[in-house]
Amino acid sequence: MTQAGQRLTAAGKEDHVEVDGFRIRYWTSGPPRPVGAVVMLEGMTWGLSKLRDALVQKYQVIALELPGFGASPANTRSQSVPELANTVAQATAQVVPEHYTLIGTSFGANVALWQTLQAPDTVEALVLIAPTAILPVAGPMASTPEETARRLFAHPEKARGLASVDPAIVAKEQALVQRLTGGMHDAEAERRLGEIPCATLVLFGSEEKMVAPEAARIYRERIPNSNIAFVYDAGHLIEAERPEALVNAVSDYVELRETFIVGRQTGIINP
Amino acid sequence: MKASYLGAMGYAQRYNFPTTWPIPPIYHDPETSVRSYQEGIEECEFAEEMGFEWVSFSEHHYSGRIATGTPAVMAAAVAERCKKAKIAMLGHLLTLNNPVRVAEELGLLDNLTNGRLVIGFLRGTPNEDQTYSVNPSEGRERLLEGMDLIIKALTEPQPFSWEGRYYQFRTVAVWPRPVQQPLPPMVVATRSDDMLHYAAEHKLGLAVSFVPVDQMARVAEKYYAWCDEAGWQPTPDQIVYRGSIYLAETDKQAEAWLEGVKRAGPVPGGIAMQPAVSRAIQAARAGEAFDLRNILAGGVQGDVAGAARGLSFMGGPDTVVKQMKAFHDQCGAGVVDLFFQQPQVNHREVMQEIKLFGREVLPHIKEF
Repeated sequence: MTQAGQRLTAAGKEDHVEVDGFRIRYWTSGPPRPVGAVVMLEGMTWGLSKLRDALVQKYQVIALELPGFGASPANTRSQSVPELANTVAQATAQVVPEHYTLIGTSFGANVALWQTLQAPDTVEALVLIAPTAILPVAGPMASTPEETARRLFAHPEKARGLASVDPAIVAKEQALVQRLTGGMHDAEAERRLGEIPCATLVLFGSEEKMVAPEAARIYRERIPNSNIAFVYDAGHLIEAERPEALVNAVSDYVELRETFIVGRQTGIINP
Repeated sequence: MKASYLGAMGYAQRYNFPTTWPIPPIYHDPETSVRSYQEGIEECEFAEEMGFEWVSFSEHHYSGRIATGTPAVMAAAVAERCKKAKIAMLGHLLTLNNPVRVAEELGLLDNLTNGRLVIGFLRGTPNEDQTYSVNPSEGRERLLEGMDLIIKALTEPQPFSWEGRYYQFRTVAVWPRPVQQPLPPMVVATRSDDMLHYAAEHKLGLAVSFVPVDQMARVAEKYYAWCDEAGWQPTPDQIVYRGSIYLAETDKQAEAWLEGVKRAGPVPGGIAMQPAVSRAIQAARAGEAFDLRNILAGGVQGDVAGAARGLSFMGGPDTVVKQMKAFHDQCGAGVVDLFFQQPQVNHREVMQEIKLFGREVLPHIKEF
């Protein structure tokens, strides 16, 4: 069995901060002279190791372990996603004194969204990977590994490579997410999308099954400076199925923000 | 069953072409070419007048046999003359094209025709891969991704980025959107299992070209089963068969015509390529290793890739009705898309065939 926390340990120097009674671990890595800071909030169970590996080439990357996630104790105190986001915002403020790009995936993206609403002056750019705040597909949590794989992947057969995650961690994280969200649409988050001041990229897999296809356009309509991207042939766990495409899009966006739409590849074949 | 007229716009003197592909442009005479397109448009108009409910267009390159390398341009011209018929793009070769550009052309055509567009997705015959130097081994995946991207481009109301395997577009916002919402009718032209799956899962129709009825029946059987698994069943309009036709007043006349064609020598209707080129394409499409030395040593003669497979329908009206009924009964085909412009048949004769078809065949097949 592999614990999520152990996986993160390989990604940098481990440390922790104390906030709201939580002991929040984080891992820092990056080059000697980073060009900026990136804070990553991972979602349930599976991390963003390939994206992190790419970003650490240029940025100081801080991976924060959400209270109740990974190897941390079960979180029974946070009463809402905004409250959890507030805790994470305080932790981030202790670790990153100035501005940063914030990246979250799945439930971690929901927390990142709320963190941006609560600390808008510190988040320079926001990347939401497969966020589940808006129009999650209704229904109970998947009850079998096969059903889980069908919901998470465009190609469920790829789930086999990720089957080594400790089921106890999965159950703990699922319980927290279910308690805080109920698997329901976050109407308050939707209402406040227009308050997000920073450049925002929202990515979904073209075969996303956890969130309704109309969700992407809601983010695009409501967030003033936003882009939406569809990663072809990926489900909810984009990094597991199309890691290169995810890394390419997010890396470009972290560097270039809304100007990432401007073509930069040369068309010259033989000069 | 409905009839569709394939607007091939064949070059009038196509009977002079060599049996190879591509056809060297030196065969092109501007005056003949202009006349050929005018005659082709007349045929489409007359077909509509005689009761054909669709007029179709197909992308083919570097040849005057089906001289519509840019089918959307041809469709737009014909749509101004044919005011009732569905304009069926059967279709763009997605493997060769920028899918966003295709989506833009389709959106515009649906607006120009006020919602008469039918969309077909296809890969094309092996020779077509060479038109824009597309790697044949990537064709299938390009097609699958292209279909997804076009559907997204035609349905997504907000600008978006596409991070694909073969296509990356950071801003897609197709304008105009189709008149038919959420999408115009779509068919996938294929006999491949993965494409049949795609069509079934996405509730798209099926088009099959130029194969015998038993072969199409086997394809259709798989498609229907997968549609059933996906929880739906296609309507007759969603099952299209494209075939070549020679219609005469009687079976005897048709047979006499065919004998004359055979006596005239090799039929210039195929798309033969140099043997080594043909082998290389087939190997790449199949994902197999290709060693040029074996080809050069083997002395392969006359290898033909995707050659025309003869006539699907031939005979007098009664015989042709029976032949079409077989496709209806055994395959569920609800639309026959008909290629009248055989190499040895001129414009006047095509017009006669259309008239005969409208008078003696169409009333019967409409009853299927």
